[in-house]
Amino acid sequence: MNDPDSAKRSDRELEQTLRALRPDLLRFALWLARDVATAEDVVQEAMLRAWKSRTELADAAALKPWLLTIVRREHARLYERKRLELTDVDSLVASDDPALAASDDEQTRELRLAIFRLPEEYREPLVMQVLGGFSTQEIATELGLSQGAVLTRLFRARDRLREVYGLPQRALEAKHEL
Amino acid sequence: MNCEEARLRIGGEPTAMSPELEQHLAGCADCSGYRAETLRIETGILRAMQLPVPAASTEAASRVVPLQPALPRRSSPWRNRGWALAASVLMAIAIGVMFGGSRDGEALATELVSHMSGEATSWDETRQIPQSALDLVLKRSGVQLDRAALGEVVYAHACFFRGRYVPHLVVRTARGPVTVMVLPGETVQDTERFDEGGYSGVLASAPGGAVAVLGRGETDVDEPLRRVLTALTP
Repeated sequence: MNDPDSAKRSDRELEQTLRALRPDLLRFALWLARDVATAEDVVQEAMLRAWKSRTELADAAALKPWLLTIVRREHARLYERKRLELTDVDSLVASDDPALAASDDEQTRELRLAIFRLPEEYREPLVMQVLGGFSTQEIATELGLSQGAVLTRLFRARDRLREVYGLPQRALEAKHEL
Repeated sequence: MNCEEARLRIGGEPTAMSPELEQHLAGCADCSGYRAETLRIETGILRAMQLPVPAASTEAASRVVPLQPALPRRSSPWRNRGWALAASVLMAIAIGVMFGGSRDGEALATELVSHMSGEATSWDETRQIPQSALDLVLKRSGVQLDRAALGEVVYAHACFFRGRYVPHLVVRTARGPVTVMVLPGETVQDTERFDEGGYSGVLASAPGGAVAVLGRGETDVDEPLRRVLTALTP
């Protein structure tokens, strides 16, 4: 049954939820895009897309992962469409970007920079797992990879970050190569 | 499970545990140490990923040099729409304000007032924002307006409101700050006043949308409305 008042109420609730989730979506997009302006564009497009597709969302509890997936796809679409140049992380540092604000301790700042410097194929699954809460199976499905390949990429991402802690990297055998 | 497989599991999913891994760790000090290191790093990664994100677009716009081109914006019905005519009509309406709003207008007013609670700190801003910040917000919303006609804008944010991104501005006036929201696509019957939740406001209709001006308490909203309508004139 279509109750217009109920639909309006539900729209209002969704809008409030979207607004509340915006910082999380923006943070997620920022890790993917490594640029505040681009991340904001991605989130804006993603939220508009989500709003238009809101009737497709059957389970309200799945809202956040659904939105994060839209953000990721929107970011991927942007890269496909514009073939954007890679962001120069050194410029990001030089511009005193709020993303790298020095309010945290030095190690966190270094780690943040190291994550920003990870190649996209390592950074993206790491961000999806740590920030998005996606399982390796979900990441594999979303990225069109095998679960084993995702596991290897996640291993390699973390392996590179060991350097920040002065720890040696651990090589994998050839069978785990991508 | 050998050490290689164990490390791959640990590095891929540090917090996950399986009976096989547990069994391996029980008998392998090297891999146990590796897991402890990885969990320590994981705590750091979690902390590092909690980036401080800007609360409003304006902050980012004023501080960050974009490294990449922005997405192309959709064309907006608010561009090139004969605002001069709309403004003159609306100014006339605004002067002879009508009382008694429509149901749609009342619902819109209620949502605007509710929206204000999420942007409470916007009223505290006192410094004029840079032109580039305002331009970015307007670009994100697909709205064009003349800043000079609008007055001193101290806050600007592209807000997600009723399924669209709309400019939410705070303008300083001689009688205190007012909030201005330009609402493409909204329908309002002529001009409607409201007094709700500690805010007094006015909604004005226009071809292609509406404009809302809100003040706290007894603030004059008519003069700011006139300014907004003039500012929207191409």
